[in-house]
Amino acid sequence: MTGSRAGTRPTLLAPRGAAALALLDDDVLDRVRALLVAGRLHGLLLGAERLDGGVAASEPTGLAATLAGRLPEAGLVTVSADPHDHPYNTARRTLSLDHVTGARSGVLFGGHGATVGETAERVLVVRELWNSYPVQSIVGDRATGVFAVVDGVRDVAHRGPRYDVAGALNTPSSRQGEPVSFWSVDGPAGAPDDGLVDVLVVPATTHLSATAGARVYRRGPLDPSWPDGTPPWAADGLVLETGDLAPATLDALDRLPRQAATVTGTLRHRLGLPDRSINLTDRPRTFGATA
Amino acid sequence: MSRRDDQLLLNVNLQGFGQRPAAWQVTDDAPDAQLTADFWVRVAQVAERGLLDAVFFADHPSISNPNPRPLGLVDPVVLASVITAQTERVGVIASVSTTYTHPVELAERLLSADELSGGRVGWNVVTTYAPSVARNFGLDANPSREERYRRADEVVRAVRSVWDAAAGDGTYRFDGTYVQVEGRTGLRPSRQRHPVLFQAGGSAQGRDLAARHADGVFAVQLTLDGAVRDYADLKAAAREAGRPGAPAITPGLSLVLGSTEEEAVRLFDDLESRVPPRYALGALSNVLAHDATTLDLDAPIPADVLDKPWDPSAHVTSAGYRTTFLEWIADRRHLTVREVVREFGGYGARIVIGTPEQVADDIEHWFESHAADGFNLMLDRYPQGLETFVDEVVPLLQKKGVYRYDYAGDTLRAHIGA
Repeated sequence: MTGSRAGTRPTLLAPRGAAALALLDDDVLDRVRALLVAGRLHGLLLGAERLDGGVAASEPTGLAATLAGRLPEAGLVTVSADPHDHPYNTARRTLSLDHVTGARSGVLFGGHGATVGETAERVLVVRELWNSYPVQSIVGDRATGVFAVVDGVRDVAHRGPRYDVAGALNTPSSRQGEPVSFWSVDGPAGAPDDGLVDVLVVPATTHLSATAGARVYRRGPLDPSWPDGTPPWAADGLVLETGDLAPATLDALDRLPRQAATVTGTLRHRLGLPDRSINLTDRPRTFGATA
Repeated sequence: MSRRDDQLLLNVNLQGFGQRPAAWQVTDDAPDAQLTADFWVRVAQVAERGLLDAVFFADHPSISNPNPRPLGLVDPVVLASVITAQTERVGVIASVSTTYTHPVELAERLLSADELSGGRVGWNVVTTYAPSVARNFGLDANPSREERYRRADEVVRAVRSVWDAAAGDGTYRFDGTYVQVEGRTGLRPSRQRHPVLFQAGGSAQGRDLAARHADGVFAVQLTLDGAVRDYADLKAAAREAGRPGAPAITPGLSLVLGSTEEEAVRLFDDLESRVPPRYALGALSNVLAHDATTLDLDAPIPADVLDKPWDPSAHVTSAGYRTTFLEWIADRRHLTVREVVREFGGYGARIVIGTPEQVADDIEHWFESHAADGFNLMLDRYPQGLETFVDEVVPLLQKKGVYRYDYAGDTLRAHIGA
């Protein structure tokens, strides 16, 4: 298992159900912000209920967009687990969130009711779309009237067993290359092929023999009785789930170890992850050469 | 005619850096400002200062060439949450396609955004006609207009079943020809119960959908007479559907403002000169159903182009826009193509180029004529054009007694009186 940035174990808080909406309370928000500034937490995972087909009290992308301005220190990871949500719409929504958060977002993919192969195809299409309209193509050249040099805008031209998607996406690529991609290893589903995602998220009690070239984060419920306040899980990072954000829960979070607090920059930077992208130069130009 | 005792409604259609295609070339913002929360929040705060009902976003799930005009770079429902988190009263209306979005995902996204906003979100129901969309969803072409609207009717009812479930025990079920959904939602109703419904299509099918479901309608109306007729027809259709008073009708209104008419015209001319002529001719082609680039710019549009028979159901782009264009040009057939391009507005709305006084008089005249309940404003540039409107036109409308001095409520539903 590879080490994380500067020896830290990035820690994401995953409030489930009504606990997610508790973040809208000013007092709770102030406490969570202090935890982020202190380096006890590094971000939020929103929508964890959806990983096992549960119902959420809010839609995670909208909640993340609502919180983004008030929690500038937080990485914001949203769950995408509905196989009915078309990858074009998923890519658009999540990449839009990435822009309005200043490139501090990520997506935890799950596939409730879908096979590993189906979810892997969905993730691949989303990632290809994230790369299809390079943000660097925006030049805004007033002298020539060229807003974007469109040579680099590419169709993803994906034709797979489940999806047939032309592209390109109508949202330019992320300032962090791509939003950070997470994969939930859970239930009957296994891990994807090497390199498909940045981070595997594995239940704390599940044995995982292969890491598929990704970091491994462990996910489990927050337990106030942990010795030293921190979970005894071997992992590159932690996802701590809670069904409430009552004062006692916030006190338990306050007992997490202080770590290096990287509260600026992209989520990749904050989590110590390398840049990544998919090279689409072999795909068709969407608009031909710059007009 | 007796004066109306209700108040004018005003939304603003945020089309990137502005409604005129060259707006990005004269903005003070960086070219990629549309990717930031800051840009949209700043513009929405100007709208809120002007007591506008809402900011509005068009959208379709495919890329359009960003040259010469970048549009729709960020998902409007995400922007709804960004904007409402940093404003207090102004609403946000987001367009989401009924043809290409799963109804439950759509219902929960919008209701959640609405709840988080304190009841300030609206859904503009669109069926999506942009031909480039189908390929992103594994289709060779969009379904026909008839089929899109039959599906839209079911999607709206399925979405409402989810919203109703949120106010009840959480369980929903809808069993239609195109849509079958069943399940349980964990969401709660918003402060305005659920998002306000808008509709933007001017075809017969679109107007039928609006009569049955919409709280508000965006229309393209280029002539006062046509607007008065369609206003009465739609209100009557809604009354027959058991919805008296509904929907609020707000045609698009494209504006270029100057402190004198000459200044406004100079600004308009400067903006238009920065865009290749072929682009404006593309907009004309859509309403003509004919390639306008083949026409002589300095001659009138040939009669056989204007008078050819057409089938609204087979017209790929907006049928309502073509209908109102043909009415508009009926007594302008002598204009050259160049003059038509200049005067018809070009991008989904009637255009007024002039002073704040001229614009305020025009708005009042249409409102008092029962041609509109208000307008979906399309300013030449954002935020500059909107700032001028709020600072210069809004006080004139208030003085005329047709526009409010403060918001009457906190929700979008309260703003538009739905």
